[in-house]
Amino acid sequence: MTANHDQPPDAEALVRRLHDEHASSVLAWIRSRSADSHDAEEIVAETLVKAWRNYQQFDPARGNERAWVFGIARNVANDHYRRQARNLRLVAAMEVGDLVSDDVAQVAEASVVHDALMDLSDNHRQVIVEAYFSGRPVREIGERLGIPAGTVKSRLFYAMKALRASLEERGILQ
Amino acid sequence: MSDHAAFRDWAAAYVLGSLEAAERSEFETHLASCDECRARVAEFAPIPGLLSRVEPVDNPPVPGAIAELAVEQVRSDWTALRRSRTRWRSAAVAAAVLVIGLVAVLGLGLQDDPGQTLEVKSEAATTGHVVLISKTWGTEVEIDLQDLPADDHFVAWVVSTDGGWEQVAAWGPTPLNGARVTGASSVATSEVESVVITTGDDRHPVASATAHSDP
Repeated sequence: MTANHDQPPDAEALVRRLHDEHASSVLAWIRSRSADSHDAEEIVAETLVKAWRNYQQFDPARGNERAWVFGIARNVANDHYRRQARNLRLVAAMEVGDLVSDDVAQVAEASVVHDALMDLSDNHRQVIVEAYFSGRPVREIGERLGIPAGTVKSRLFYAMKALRASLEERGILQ
Repeated sequence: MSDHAAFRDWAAAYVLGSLEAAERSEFETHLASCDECRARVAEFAPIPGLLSRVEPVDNPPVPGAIAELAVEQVRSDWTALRRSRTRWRSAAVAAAVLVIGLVAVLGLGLQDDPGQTLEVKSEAATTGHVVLISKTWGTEVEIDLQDLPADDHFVAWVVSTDGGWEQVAAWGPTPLNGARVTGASSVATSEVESVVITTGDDRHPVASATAHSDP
């Protein structure tokens, strides 16, 4: 009983949840800004620990958790690169500059949109990718997927409904 | 009405730019007279702008080592804090005796050490300093903090060079989020590695001050 009182309220569970929900997005962002993947992994691990240590300061009223975690990641990355630059003088100023100039709230929001897109069913994501990212007209999408044009329109409709609902659930749209 | 049935599913393809020119103008003509389709278009309209900021590719897989590295660090933080608490409990009686001794010693005014001032560092906005004053019984710890995070209970700990933790002070919320408290530790000043401030209930580290270490 007393041991439980001394235990953190699921400290480990909190770190694992933060990891599961944000590590992959943070890693993708840091990697897009850094050549060294080992560095990126260290930065993500340190970000999770700092997020746990400071979790009390997370205020949902001031933004979503993803943006808060990205803010921590940026500070950790900046410290990391600054330390490296001091010790090794190897890091291109560009990398640090890019991270600093990124608008963390925007990067975090984009990462949530990415999550929503990637969490769609394969059928739904496929038609959105064909229509929006590949810029194909409905008829051509139908030919590629072997389905009638009417079915493409209706699948796009339900895919967009699902995406919209997911974006609402994630607080990106109201 | 029957008109709408023919265009019911078109709004998404329209917003994503996938209707060919003829269908597009056909749908736009229909839109002018259909509230429902206009509502659908409005519903989908913000989505292309959001999609323009992402790539439809999977994030790289996250190496399992990241979670383990983080969890291990958190566990070790906690082990240190838990050990400190156990020590504190077992030392409760000794502490009571110590306080009596402390009053006696202070009364005699045996020592007048100017103290060693340590700067407080924090991931949060907390700033301030800690002064360690060497005493015959251990160390007096003067803590002066500003901008503590919102919490209703804080605890200050002395961490000794052998890794032990001892609670030296505890306090509640203050109107300006600052704190000036004086605590006492049985740890000799030369053996104080750092002073750590945590929240009272969850024991989240809030700030710490590290003593000038030996070379």
